[in-house]
Amino acid sequence: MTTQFSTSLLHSPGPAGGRIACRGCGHDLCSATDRWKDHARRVERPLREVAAVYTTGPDALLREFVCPACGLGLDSEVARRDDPPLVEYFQVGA
Amino acid sequence: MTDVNPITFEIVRHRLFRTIEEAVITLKQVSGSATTNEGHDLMVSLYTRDGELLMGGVGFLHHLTSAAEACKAIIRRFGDEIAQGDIYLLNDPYTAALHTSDVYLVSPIHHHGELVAWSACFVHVNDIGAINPGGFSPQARDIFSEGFSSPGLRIVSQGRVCRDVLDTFLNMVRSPDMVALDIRSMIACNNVARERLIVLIDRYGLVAFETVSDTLIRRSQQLLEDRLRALPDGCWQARQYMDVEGEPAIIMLTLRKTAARLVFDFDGSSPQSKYGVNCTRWAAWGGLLAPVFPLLCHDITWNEGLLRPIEMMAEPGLIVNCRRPAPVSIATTAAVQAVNNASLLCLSKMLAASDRFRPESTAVWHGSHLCLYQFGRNQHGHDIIGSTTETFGGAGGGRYLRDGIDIGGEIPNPISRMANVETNEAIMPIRYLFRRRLRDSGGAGRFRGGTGGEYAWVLHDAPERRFGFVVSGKGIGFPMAHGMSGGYPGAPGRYVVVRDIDVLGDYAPKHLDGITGRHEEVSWGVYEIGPRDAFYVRWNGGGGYGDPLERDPEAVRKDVREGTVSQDAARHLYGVLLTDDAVDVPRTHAARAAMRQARIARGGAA
Repeated sequence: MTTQFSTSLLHSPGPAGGRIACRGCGHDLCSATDRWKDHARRVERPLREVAAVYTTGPDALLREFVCPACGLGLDSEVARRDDPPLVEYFQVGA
Repeated sequence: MTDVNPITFEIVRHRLFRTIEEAVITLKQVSGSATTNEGHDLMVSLYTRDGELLMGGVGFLHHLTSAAEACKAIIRRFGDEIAQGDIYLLNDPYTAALHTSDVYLVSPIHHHGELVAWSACFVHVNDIGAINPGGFSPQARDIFSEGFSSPGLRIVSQGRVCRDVLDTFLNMVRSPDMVALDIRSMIACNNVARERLIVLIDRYGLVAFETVSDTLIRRSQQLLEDRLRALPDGCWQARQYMDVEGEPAIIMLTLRKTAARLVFDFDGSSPQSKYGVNCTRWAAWGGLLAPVFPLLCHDITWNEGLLRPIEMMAEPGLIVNCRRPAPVSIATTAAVQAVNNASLLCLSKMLAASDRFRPESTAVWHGSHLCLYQFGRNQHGHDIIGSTTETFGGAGGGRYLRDGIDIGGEIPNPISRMANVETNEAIMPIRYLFRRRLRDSGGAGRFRGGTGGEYAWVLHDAPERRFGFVVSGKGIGFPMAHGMSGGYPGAPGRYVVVRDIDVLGDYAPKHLDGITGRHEEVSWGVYEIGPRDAFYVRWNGGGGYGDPLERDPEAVRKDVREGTVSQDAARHLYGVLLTDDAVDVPRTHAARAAMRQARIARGGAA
């Protein structure tokens, strides 16, 4: 039975925690215990370029992780360029 | 343990909560401060005889556990000297408090001479004698510059106010009349809590009271543990940036959930700062838990049982566990707020991983307080200190199935709100030019964040032709109300002083751009407004939830029509094209498809 890993990601239970896929198109990303963001497209741009209301400093980026197949926005972060992506994963056996 | 019949159990449980409610009403009615009685910057709760949380009340929830530590600190310090009718003051952040301005008054509750419980409350007093008026002290570099600080002081002895102690305290603060009223309001609050609890115990007996108390704590722990077992095991992270004078500090939080246990780990956070944006360990603990109560436990009694399955890891010397004498006067709106936000995001990600609990998940609400403490002589000839309280107006975060509420408050304080413009104008020599929701400030998303707001004021009837203010802004260089599952962050805050403005006369500009003059962005320090100046504040919107390209185009059209979203944002953030107040469906479909393809083309491997 397929459930969801998050609002934008599907989770199919199975060996080693199961698999993670895009909710929009079902594109398989990785194992649920893996770092799914490593398997998504990463789009970064300065927040101040996103919209006029973001009167932020130059270091503030909007980092988006999108499905490589359909382009659905899977997650977003406020980040600086060299800061690593935030981690989220299921524990094996969950 | 003695059995209590179910009807008596529910009556006692209900009356415990009503005791708190009545004490809160007392606090608000006696206090003369808009921060307390309009902004609801307060908290009242009940504690066991050992100082453990018995019944958490309303107000700023990060105080529930710190006030427990205050009770325990008083027990350790005064021991057998604690007497019926005593009330103790504690505001030392390295003992229990969040910062010196948030003063705790805690009261032992005796029944026939036996200590059976404690009540505790706090308000943000108008002043605490710190280097800067109002208590938030951007110029402080250590705790010694942050005003009066006590690890425990008997202020009422067996029902009689200790005049020497109170007068000494009031002698060390600005605006002593208002601070005296703050203290009096808390004494009254504790008196009401004590009296109502004694009546309850007289009616149902001490055994029944303690049986219900113990049962409630065990039951809450059990219910939370059952809930945690129903959630998937995993790991979720969140990160907050606090920009201060161009020096961003990081609060990094990792939540690891295993079976019925939550471990929050601050590894990777910045070292303590030279500015007062740090917080102590107890403050971080309270900040972590504040979102736990409404998100995970909205239907469970808030007490000590909820704390037992939760652990916090924070090395000493971090910005969330600073070492004395590091300054902490801005903690509540800085590190504690960032911890609130990060905790909320980690919890939301965990909830979103469960089909059953996903509807409880939310993007970050009001991410940062755009506080403003004003001081000077008012139109009535009094030297005053006050806050305009808009910062408590907040903004709701987008949720799994709903938009965030515009100016919808904040997660750590379920009853926060802001004062009327007229309240502020009545006590301060200022005139508002405008105050309203801010277009495009809610983070874009399938369900957008609630809007924040903006306001501006000029001097009005100021006898000294000037009025000072203190700002200690975070969430300006980096937005702190982050989105969920692809949602965008809410707009950041902003302070602008406009110097040498044109004479306004009867004309009142409706936007910042309409205030002509020299615009100066400010965020940190002490400033003055003169007769030819204006001051503008923008507070942040809530984060969005889900991909903005999945938002119902009709909802975007409605937002544009109501002025909460601009045409430009509709086109460029949501991919919605409008023609004559109607969605152009074919062009919207094509625009969204093109935007998705552009993301794929533009994106690199992570």
